Amino acid sequence: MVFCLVAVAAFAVLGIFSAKYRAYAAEAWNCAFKTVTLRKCDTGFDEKMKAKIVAKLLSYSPPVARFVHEQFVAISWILVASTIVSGVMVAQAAYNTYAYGNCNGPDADEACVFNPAGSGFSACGVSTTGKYLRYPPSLEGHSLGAKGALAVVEFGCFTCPYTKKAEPVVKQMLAEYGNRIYYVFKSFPASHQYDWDSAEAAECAAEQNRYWDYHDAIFAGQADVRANGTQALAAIARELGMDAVAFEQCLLSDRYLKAVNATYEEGLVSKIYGTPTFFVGNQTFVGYKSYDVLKNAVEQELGK
Amino acid sequence: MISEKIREDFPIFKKRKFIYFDNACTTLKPQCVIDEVVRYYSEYSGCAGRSMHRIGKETEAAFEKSRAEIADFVGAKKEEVVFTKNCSEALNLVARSLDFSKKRGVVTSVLEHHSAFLPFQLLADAGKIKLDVVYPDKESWLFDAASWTEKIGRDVRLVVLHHTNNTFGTQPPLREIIGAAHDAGALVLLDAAQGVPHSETDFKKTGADFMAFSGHKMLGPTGIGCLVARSALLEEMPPFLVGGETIASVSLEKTVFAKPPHKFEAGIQNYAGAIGLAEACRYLRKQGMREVERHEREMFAYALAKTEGIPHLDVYGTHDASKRSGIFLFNVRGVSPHQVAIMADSMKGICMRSGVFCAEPGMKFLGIPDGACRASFYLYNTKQEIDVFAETLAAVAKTLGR
Repeated sequence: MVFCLVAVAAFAVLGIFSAKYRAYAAEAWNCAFKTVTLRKCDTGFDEKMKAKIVAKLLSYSPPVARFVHEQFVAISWILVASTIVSGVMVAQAAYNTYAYGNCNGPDADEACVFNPAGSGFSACGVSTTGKYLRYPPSLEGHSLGAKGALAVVEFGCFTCPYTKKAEPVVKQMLAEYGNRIYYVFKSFPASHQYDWDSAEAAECAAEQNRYWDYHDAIFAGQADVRANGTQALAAIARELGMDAVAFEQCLLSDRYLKAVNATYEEGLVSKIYGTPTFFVGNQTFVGYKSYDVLKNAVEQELGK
Repeated sequence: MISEKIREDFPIFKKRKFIYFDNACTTLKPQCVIDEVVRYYSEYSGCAGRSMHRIGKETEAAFEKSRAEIADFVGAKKEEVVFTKNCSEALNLVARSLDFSKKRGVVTSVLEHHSAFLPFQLLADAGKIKLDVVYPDKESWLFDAASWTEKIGRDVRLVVLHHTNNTFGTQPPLREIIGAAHDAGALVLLDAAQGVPHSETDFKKTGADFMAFSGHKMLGPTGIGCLVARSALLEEMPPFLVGGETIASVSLEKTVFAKPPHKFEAGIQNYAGAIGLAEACRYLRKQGMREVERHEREMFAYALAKTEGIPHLDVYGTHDASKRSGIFLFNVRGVSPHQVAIMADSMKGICMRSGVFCAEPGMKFLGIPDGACRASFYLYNTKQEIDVFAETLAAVAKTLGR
C-alpha cells in the first residue's frame, strides 16, 4: 500500500515518456488515493510491482531480491520519506534560485541544475554580504565603451578562477557591442590571499597607462599570481615592458589600498556575494555565464 | 505419442515466445479452428433454421453438422446437444429449467467451480431447493463414494458434481456416485468443463443425465459451450431463455415450443463458435483423447519429478499421476501465489494462474484460503517447458521461500 505513494510520483514522471507508465501511474494513483484516504488498496498494484521488481532482481542478485522481498514495506516507507524530503529540498532550491539566482543558497558555489543560465553556479563565494543585490552606487572604475551607453558593471576578482573564466565572454561582448555599452570593471578582492595585491598592482599599472594590458595579463598568468603573489605581479610588469622599479615601488607603498578598498566597499553596498557579478542594466548575474546569457541580457536592455 | 510437431499447428507459438500453462482457464487455438471460424464469416455467414436462401441453408447445414460432430465426440446423440454460450450457461440452464417442485434435494460438493455451485446456491437461498454439500477427505483431498451415497436419499432430485476437478485435476468416483444417484431416483448433472477437453468423455458411458462443457477449454473458440442431456429430460424441461428459433408456433393466446435442442437456443446462435468447436473436436480426435490424457499425466509426473526437492514448495493433492489430469497446484511458502505467478511471467514468460480458481469454498476447506498457483498442461506442452518452469520455481523458492 505504501509503495503506491512512491509509485504514483515515479510513474507520473515516467509517464511523460511512455504510455505504459501512464497506465501504471493511473493504477498507482488509484491505489495511492485509497491509501491516503485510509482505505484498503485492493487493486493488487503494489503486489504486482513488488513481484516484478523482485523477479528482475532475482536474475542479478538473489540476496538483494530476498532482502527487497522481505523488507518491501520498510523500503517503501524509506522511499516515501525520501520523496518527501527531496520534495522539500527541491522547493527550497527553487526558492533559492528565485531569491539568489542559485539553488544552493546565497553563499554556495556548487553546481545547480535549476540555473538555466549556464553551467551552474560558478563564482568565488563571499560569505560576509547580505542577501539581495543592489545596483552599484557609482559607475566609477576602469571602463571601456562609451560613457552614457548601457552600463555593464562587473565586480571581479583578479585571483578568482571564475572571473578569469568570464574574461573571454566580456571580450566577446565588447567586440560585438563596442560603444553601445559602457563596461566598468570594479575590483572586488574576494577569494585569495593575493587578491588585494593584484587589485593594487592593476592600479599601479594604470599609473603607467597600462591598466587593461595588465588586467588581461594577470588573468592570463593567474596561476602564477595565485602561487607567487607580488613576485609574479612584478614579473608581469617586467614582461609588459613597464617601468619595473616604479611599479614595484608603487606596489610596496600600498598607495592604492584606499582606492581598491573603495570599490570593495561599493561591492559590499551592492551586496555582492560572489565574483564575478554582472549588472547589465537592471539585470544581475552572479558567477560565470555563457556569452549567450549576457548577450541576451544586453539585447533586452538595449531594446528597452 | 503426441509429437512436438503439433506446436506448429498453433500460430501463436510463431508469434510470441512464452510458456502457456493456463490451459485449465482456456486453451490456445490451432490454425484449423481459426480457419473454420474465419471461413464461416468470410464464405457463408448467414442464419440457420430460418432463411430459405442458399447462404442460410449452407449455414444451417454447417451448424447442424457441427452439432452432430460434437455430439459424436462426447458420445451423445445430435438432438441431445444444446448450444450455450459456455459451460456456465449450460449449468444455469439446468438449475433454472429443471423442475424441483416434487423433490427439492440437491447434493453437490465443496470442490465445485462457482459456475456449478452458485446457480444452486441461489435456488437454495430462494427456498426452491435444499442444498447438501459433500466434502472430500482432508488429507488426500479425494472423495470417498460413501460420503456421497449417504447423502443421496430418496428426496434428492439432482446430484451436481465435477467430472474432473478444476483446481487439482482429480476425479470423484463417478461410476459409484452416478449409480447411487440413479438408485435413489435422482438425476446427475456433470460439470465436465475439465473432463471433455482432457479425457475420453462419453456421455452415455458416464451415465449422467446432464453434462456441461465449454468449447474454449478444448481448443475451440470462446463463446460456445454445450449442455448434453437425455432427450426425454429436454422434452420435459421448459426453455430457460426464449425467443426466435425456440418455438414451433406463437399466437397471442398460446405458444408451442420447438423440439429440443432448438427450444433452448433462443435467438441467433454462435454459428462460428459451433463450427470452430466441431473442428476442435476433429483435431482432438485426430490426436486421440487417450493420447491427450496420457500426455497430460506424463507432463504432471515430469513436473512432479523435476520439482522434487525444491525447498519451501508445497505441491497439493495426490502425487499419484494416474489419479490426476495435468493440473499442478502448488504454493511457495512465504510468497503469495500472485507474486509467484507474476515473477514466473516476468522471468521466463511462464503464464499460469494464481488465486482461488473460481472455487473459493473448496480452497477454504482445503486450508489454502489465500489461494495457490496452478500450472495446467495440455497436449502442446513439452518437457523442455517444464524444465524451465522447474528452474524458475527453484530460483524463486530457494531465494524467497520460508
